[in-house]
Amino acid sequence: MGEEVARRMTMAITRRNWLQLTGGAGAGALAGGKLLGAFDDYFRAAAPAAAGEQTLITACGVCSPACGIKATVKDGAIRFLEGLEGDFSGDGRLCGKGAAGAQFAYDPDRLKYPMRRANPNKGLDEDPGWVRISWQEALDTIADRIKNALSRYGAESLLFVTLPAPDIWLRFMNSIGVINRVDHIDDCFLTDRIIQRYTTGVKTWANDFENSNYILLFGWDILAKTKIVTAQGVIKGKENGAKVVCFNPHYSTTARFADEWYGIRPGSDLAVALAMIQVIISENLYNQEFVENYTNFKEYETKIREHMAQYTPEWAEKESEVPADVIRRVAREFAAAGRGIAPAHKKTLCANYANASQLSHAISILNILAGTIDRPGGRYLPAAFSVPGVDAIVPPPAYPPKRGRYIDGKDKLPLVLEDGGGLFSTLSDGLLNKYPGMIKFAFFNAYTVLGFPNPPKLFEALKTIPFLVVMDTLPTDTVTFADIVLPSATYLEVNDVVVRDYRAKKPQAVARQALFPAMFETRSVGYVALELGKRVAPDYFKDKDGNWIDLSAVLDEKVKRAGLGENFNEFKAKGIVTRDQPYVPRTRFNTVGGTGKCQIYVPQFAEKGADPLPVWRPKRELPSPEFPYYYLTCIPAVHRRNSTENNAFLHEMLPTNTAMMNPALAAKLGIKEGQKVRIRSRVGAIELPAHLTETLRPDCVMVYHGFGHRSRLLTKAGGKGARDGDVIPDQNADEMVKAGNYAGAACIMDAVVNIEPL
Amino acid sequence: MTPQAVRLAFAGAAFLNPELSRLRDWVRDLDEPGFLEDLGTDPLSLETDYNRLFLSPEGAVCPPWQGAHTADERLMGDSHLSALDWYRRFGIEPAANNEPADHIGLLLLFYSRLIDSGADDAERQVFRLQHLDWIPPFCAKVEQEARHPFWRRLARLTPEWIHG
Amino acid sequence: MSSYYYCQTDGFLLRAYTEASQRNRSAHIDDESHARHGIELKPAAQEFFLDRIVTDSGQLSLLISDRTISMAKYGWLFDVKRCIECRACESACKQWNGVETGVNIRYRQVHTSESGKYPNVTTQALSLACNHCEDAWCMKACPVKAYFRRDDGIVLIDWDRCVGCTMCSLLCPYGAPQFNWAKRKMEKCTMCADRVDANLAPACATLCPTEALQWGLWDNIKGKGVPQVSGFANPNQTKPNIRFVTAGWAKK
Repeated sequence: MGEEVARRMTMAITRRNWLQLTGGAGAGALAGGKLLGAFDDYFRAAAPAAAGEQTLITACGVCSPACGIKATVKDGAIRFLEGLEGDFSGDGRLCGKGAAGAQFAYDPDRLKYPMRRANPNKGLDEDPGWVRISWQEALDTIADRIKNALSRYGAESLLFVTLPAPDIWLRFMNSIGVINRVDHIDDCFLTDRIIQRYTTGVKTWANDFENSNYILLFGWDILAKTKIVTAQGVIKGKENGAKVVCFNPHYSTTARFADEWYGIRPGSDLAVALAMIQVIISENLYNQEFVENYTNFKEYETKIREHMAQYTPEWAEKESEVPADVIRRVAREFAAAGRGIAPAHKKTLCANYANASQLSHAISILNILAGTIDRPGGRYLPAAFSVPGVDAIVPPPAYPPKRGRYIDGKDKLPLVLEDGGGLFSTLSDGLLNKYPGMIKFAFFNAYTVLGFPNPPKLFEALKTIPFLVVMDTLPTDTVTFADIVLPSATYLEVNDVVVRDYRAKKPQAVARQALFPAMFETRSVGYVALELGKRVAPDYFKDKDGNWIDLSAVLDEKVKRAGLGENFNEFKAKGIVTRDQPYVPRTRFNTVGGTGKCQIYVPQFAEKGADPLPVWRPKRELPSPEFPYYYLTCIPAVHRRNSTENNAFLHEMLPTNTAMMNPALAAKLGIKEGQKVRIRSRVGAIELPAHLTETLRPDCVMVYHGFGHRSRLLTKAGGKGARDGDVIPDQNADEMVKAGNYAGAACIMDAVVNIEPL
Repeated sequence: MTPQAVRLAFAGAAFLNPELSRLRDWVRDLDEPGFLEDLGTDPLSLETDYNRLFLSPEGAVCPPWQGAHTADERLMGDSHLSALDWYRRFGIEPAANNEPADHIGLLLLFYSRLIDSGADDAERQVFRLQHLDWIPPFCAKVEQEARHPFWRRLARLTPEWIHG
Repeated sequence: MSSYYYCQTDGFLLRAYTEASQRNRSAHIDDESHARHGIELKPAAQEFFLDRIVTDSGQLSLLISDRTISMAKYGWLFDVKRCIECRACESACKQWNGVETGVNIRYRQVHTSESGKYPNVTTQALSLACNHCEDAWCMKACPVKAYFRRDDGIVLIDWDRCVGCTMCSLLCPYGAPQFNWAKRKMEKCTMCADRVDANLAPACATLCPTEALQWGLWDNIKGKGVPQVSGFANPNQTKPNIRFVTAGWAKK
């Protein structure tokens, strides 16, 4: 109401100015008189003092460490983004993606208004016939669809493809009993999160590289993959004299940085890890004090020794092509170092192959044997501000039980079911084969089809969903299939509390604040959650006085209870808050089962369809006469998964992908630099120009992930490159059980291919 | 208002909002044959084509902000800041503070005011050079891509109107 | 493209210039599939010209600018081992200097290269911009004296004078000056002279997350590291104000 009055007032003022502008009242006859009204709608009196340059603190949102940003904003437009001093993530710096952040908000291609399709036919090449609608209409329509599906088909007919964040969004899903929430975590760290819960008690991202003296890297291009906090940590470790050993079929940026690098056979890291455990245990090199006091080694020692005996370095050499004496020596050095760490992180370790579950377990054991769980130099539990969720601040009524069928088959994998994350790799199969027609409504929150294995199958699967809502910042390929499109605000346009967890011996939090009002009609996911909640499950979205939940009041309360300030405004004025407190290493570990000890042998796994000790299994796909080469994928340093290719700066640096291969392999196949090749697997094929590089094993071909967006609405990224995922088989839960993939790895790189010149 | 100013204000308003009834109302002041007929009577087809041409997801066809057509390829850049500067010098600014100020509609509305205010030739020329030069090739593209006759006609005539 | 400045002095030079500029132009064209994989820093054309200039004093006298060359005050220190190819330096530069993205110009660029044969392979990343050389050939080459040097050694282009003949880009061994098709002028790294005036480091060095790229007083830098690494044109030519750290992991 106040807004309307203000608008009318400014219109009146403006009209006076305009009359001056037009040289006096009564200018001309009625000609154009009506058009003055148009002017009123779009202009108003200028604010008395235009803001000069402001310095605002916020947090980056490109990747999870969320580096602190010091933003220079002039006239509501970003002038410069740089790092924030004292920030544990980023250490006062940013990476190329973070520094290109303004281009996400200012991309002319970005989604701006809610839309609905007028053309009912869905396909990649169909013109949806977008009609702009108001947020009110969009939300009402979506709410009706949800209510309809709920009453006619039950909660199992709803599919939410989204992370369980923000908390108000999860609350919405819980309030209507959503059973089918699917996220990309199986593409990422699901496996490790599950394993860690049982072996060390918590999934940590905090790695004490600075104080480590031996850094053992399986497959993780830690220096170049997105997160500068880890690169900085490893470099500091190096400055302090750490030795770095790297196993990777690709001579990566990390490889050149490492003291030793071995071009391991793809998918065989597990063999090396098992053999290292065997050496450490059989030669009694483990950290006695830690292992005997803080683990269940003694209890299961016989079983452990017996089981591990078979995994000799000589055996591992056959599987991995890493020389036995190297494995033996590195194992001894790692154990003797005293502050050794074998970090495991996300996709590059925990999602690639069918044996990822076992590999996660083996690597966890290595860290436990080194005695560096929550000890200097090792993986540790970050000290964090405790920020309550909305459910703690406005307690909801009891949520309805989750009943129904799991579209992604999680229920076949008990460890995955209890975790709740995933599963991208089985979604297509669920939609097309397992439960065709079950899903009546789907909501995609910012995921593109490129993030799935075998995207073409998912395109087909999307066509079977009667009503699809897509919320995103960009018009991606998924948007082409939507019935309603919701434009999302970027991280530069929202408020939040960001708690440090990557490098945090002390609690630290950064205020993410909107640098300018959200552009056009973009909104946050939190807004959508609340508005849908009001319409669909009102009882869960009222406070104790019966008023609708006020998200900004909730944010204030979060800040206050976390001890970050009286309210968000105060917190954002400080920008970054660090609590000075000593780090207290744990003596009790919160592993499942409640023994308080780290678990090398995991007794609970036997009951849950998993191996109590890691068992050697090869990767799912092995070279054959028809598909003789290993397929590797990689995310380039300049891009982030599949969401940055349209950013003007980043696109210029790396606009497309190639088929990277060793010159020896190229020569064998008659392929020249730049020549187009077809890479084909048992599920699909892509065509890309070849790029020759000596950094790859001669039996591999590597393709950068994130390219191959088809949507021509992405004026920069559209039509560039090929989707690496087209060649990667998707899965179903039964296959995963059979493959021993009990912690749900998406097998996002488990493919073998044929390569032919075109 | 002079005839040129009326035409430019009409073009500006149309590029900002394709609401059929208002456009029909204004078009009567225009004294341009053919516009009323081209507008037609179906608001949906007018709006759908507008969305397809100028808004995302279909905004890739003809993004209506000057910044998207510079080598800068971005919004809220130099042309936005420069347009804001121009508006503020005349004591006004766009009502929406979260959208680029260099939208073709805003620029044309402002220019129509500039003409009517008796701004001298030099000032008009500077504004044209800085903020209207991109419009003829933009309109050529719109004319080529538009399906609805109204947008085609508008795109063909707007560059002429700019020159008076 | 104004090659006529030299036509009255040496027809041979003109022909070579035309050929060279065509070759150089293709080196600047964005080759999508190789955008990441390394760019030759020294096109063959430049080598030709360097010989001409160094040996043919008749041409040399024509090319020298009459602006004074003063001692440089600032320079770059690049630690090859610490670069993680994150491109923070490129993004920072583009942000600060408002370099457009539609014209294929990057003042600062990370150049990657590899050598050896699998498995005895090694890679390298170099972040290079303008080295504000003590004996800058760009300044010598410019026929309209658009280049000038500040008291602190920073070399800048005066856009009121630049006519976009691209002579400077042919002679620079490091590809620093680049032709902007939209502006029809040459552009290059300014060492963020406006930031320097405000007592700030250039944007690139400010953002580099691993301190691989550092900027500071040349007097402090010139004794550190080595003047050349593989892929970097011979520093004895123009005396670039950059040193490379290739060994040791001392704390920064």
